[in-house]
Amino acid sequence: MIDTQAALENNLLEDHIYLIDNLRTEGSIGEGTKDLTSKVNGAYWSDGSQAGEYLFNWLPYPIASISPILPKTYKKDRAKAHDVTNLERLQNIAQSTKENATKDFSELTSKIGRNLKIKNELGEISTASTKLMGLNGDILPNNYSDPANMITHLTPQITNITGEAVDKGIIYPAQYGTPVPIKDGWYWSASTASKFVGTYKYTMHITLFKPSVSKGEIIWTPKYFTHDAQIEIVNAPMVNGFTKAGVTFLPII
Amino acid sequence: MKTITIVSVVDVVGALTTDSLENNIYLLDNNKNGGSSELATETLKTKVNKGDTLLWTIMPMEPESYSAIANIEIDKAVCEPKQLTYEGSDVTYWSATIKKDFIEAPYSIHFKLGNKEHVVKPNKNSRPALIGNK
Repeated sequence: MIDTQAALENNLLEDHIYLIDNLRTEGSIGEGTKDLTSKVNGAYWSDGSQAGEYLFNWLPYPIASISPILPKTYKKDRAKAHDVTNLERLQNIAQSTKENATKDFSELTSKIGRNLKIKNELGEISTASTKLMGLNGDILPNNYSDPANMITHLTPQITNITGEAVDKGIIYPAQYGTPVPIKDGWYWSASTASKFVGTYKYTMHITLFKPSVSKGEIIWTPKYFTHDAQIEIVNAPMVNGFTKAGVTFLPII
Repeated sequence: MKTITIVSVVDVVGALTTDSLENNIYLLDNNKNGGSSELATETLKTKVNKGDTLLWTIMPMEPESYSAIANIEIDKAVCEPKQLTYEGSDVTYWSATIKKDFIEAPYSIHFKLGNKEHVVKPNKNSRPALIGNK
């Protein structure tokens, strides 16, 4: 979890990143801090045989954002629905004989919303099919220009995972697609060679997008950061969280 | 006046196996630069001012598991959280506006976790709080 706004304001990721895994019961340390060591109890099964691999998934998310539970197409769907509604309103205005039709038209155009504009390393600006969205999911009006408040931030992107754990063949990270709503359907994943007992550092390469105002509209510019974390593989056997026994058998009640 | 998001990151499987939120919940907000403290703990202290808007959302660590905020209990003189739905979806969030200046307002978040209605309350002695400006 990243406080993207604060990280970008301070140009410092490490004070605004909170690493959390679901291996706390296994003994991970540093949960909710910038220094996470994920514990892998899994070199062996409880009967002493070689254990299977652990699978790690990395899911970066901005704190200032709409709910991560929303469908991955939500932003696009809302932009499309917003345009359809406004086209219907435009049709009504065009057919209206009211004297204040011009005023209605002006009001309507101010609420169309602006599509997201993202600058690349060459300074070129591309336009996304999603619109600038508030933290409550509403499309923000055309003249909205306060990048420090209310807007839902773009999701941070992991662009690579490198370092000792990769160099030594402990993890083989890659980006995958998923139908699950979190992370726009994309996430980084790696299987872990849990037979290699030890502690291994790895580096996440993370891109944040900084909103700034240019000619009255918000432009998002990528900013590049790295952050380290560790995996610790130990000999202790895997344990079923419900039974506290081995993971092979489930209790019959 | 700010809009502050408070996210509950929940290890749903961890909470269900231990039947407790202890060590399975991490509350975060986007106002550390504005004075919030104890981020990524269950006792998050969110710094707020009169007129600020708060939004509570939830993030399950396992995306496949069901989780939702069922209720937020707080002194109604400070704010009155209401459950709202993102337009065009059935996903909910909770929102409130800070009504007045105050010193500190501890609160409880109730969660529904898993595939049946399972309400879990944080420990009363380790509750999150809003920190006012009085």
